[in-house]
Amino acid sequence: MYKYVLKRLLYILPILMLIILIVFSILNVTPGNPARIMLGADASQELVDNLNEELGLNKPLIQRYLGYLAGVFRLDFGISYRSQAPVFNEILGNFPTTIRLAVFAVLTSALIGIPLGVLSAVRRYSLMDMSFTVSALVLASIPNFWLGIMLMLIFSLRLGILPSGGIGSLSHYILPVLTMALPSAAYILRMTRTIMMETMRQDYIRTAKAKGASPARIIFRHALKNALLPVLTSLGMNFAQLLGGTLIIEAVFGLPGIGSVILKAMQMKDVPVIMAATIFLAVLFMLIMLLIDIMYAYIDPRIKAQFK
Amino acid sequence: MGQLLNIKDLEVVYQTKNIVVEAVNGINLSLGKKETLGLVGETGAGKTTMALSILKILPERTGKVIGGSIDFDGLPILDLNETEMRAIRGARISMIFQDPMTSLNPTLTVGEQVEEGIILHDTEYKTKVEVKSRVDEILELVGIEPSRKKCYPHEFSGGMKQRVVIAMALACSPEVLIADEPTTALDVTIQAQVLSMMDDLKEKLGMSMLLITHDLGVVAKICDYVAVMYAGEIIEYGTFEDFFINHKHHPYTKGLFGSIPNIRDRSKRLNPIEGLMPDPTNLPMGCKFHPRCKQCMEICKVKPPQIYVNGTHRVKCHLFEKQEVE
Repeated sequence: MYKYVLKRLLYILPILMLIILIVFSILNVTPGNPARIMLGADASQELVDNLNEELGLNKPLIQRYLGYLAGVFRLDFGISYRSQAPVFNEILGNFPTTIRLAVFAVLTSALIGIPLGVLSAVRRYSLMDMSFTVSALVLASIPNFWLGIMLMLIFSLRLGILPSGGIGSLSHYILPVLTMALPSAAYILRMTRTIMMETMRQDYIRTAKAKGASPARIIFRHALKNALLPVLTSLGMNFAQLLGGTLIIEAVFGLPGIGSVILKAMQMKDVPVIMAATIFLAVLFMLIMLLIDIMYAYIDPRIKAQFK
Repeated sequence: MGQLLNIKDLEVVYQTKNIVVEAVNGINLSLGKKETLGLVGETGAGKTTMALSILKILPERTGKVIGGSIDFDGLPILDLNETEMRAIRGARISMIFQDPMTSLNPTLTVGEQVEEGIILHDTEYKTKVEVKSRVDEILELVGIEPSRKKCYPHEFSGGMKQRVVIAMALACSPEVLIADEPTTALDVTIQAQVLSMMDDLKEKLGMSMLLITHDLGVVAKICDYVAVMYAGEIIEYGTFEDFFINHKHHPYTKGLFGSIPNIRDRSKRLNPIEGLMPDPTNLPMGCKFHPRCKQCMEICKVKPPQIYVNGTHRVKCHLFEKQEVE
């Protein structure tokens, strides 16, 4: 098991190098010279050339890439073109907000989606099931920035019970987290329902019935553990989506997270910041996927056996 | 009747929106104490459906018993509610399913699965130690080292898994064991082992057994009575002797015997029954076997045959009308 975790942690390195290469190349071919953007349209060509020289932007791509990689392994992500401050500090300062958002959102969506999905599967084709599935469909179909604005209108403007933006207290997180969690909960609900229904058709469920087990026992002891595996995977994938989705949500609710950092950096073509934010998100995503794989092993003994 | 299990005119259908599948069409069967009844028939003859209706675990929503009665030790099974049924399932009537690979829960240890039935039907308020020792005892009975109870099903071979399934079924010493093709998913050498073990255990524990199979060889080994099922009906019923010594059989049964390879026979090909089982959503008129019957007569196409009784032997075929007279 430890060996497996170590192996997976080591895998992160080559994947990371590849991700950096891709982002590096893409940013390289996008129009707009960072030096020109920093100095403004009025600056002389000489000044721009000097700055390019200074930043090392006139060196060949592969050399810049290798130089950057070497920096990354020393946790040196360069200096922001915009603020002239080290990028690492800037990202680190904004990261907790984003992580908090995403974690709360994933937990909320699991807490809503899984129980309701199970309930829906157990009482399938009932009125309750239908209302759950229909509302899930609606929630999954509406864009989340719209949902965010609507929630803001209702809870902040009309009812005045929740703050509409910024951070400060825990209550500031409620609306953005709900905005992110509801569509994702809808997805989890539908997924859980489908998988649970399929699990309930398995032979071992019939065996449990033949033993005289009660419906509750069959659901909780025999079906849930088996059904949870695929749901867990989609929770992980959801988490990744939510991390990316914070870009919009942070803008809607004015939260100082990594999303707003990326947004600002993109407008400025602040390459070091974009790079660093992407790397942070990629590493986080890989760590979460690893965490989910480890959780698999605790749920399914067959997978645990493979790790030995 | 002094029988333990009596099934009378049982009719079961599977209903979906547009189709009605007539799976069991008026079955009469009985099983006495300590007897073994072999239920033989092709895939789709309704054998499993009948077994599931005895435990009332037909697929919800689609499977429905529409007629007849099942009487178990004086209890009208079909009139019992879920709670009363749960007390019978696994405790007084147990079932072994066809495929041991899928009948065990992959996320629970073997010990946990065997123990479950014991705990569910515990009327003596057993302590944990007593439950554990009962699990060990039952595992030993089916030939599994009790030390392996902490293993998961995937760590067992097919034959061992079937032993676990049998152990689960026997955990509460049931009066009736329904074994639904218990050896079909196993290879031949393991089949023999498992069968003889089941036969031994049946003797040892004094159970009655309903053995569902499509293998006449299995029937010849351990059954006291045999019933042949075709398209949801029992077409021939009799003692072991009626089947394996007597030579007067329903044409379908003859076909089944003809499908068994015979070492002494010099013919190069088997003699299978031509054609397929009729579509259960659209059963033929008259005798349900007539489209495939080599001895089909005009009457077979219009009138369903009645049952002709000769001692313990019962056959549902028009041919026997004449033979009785002879």
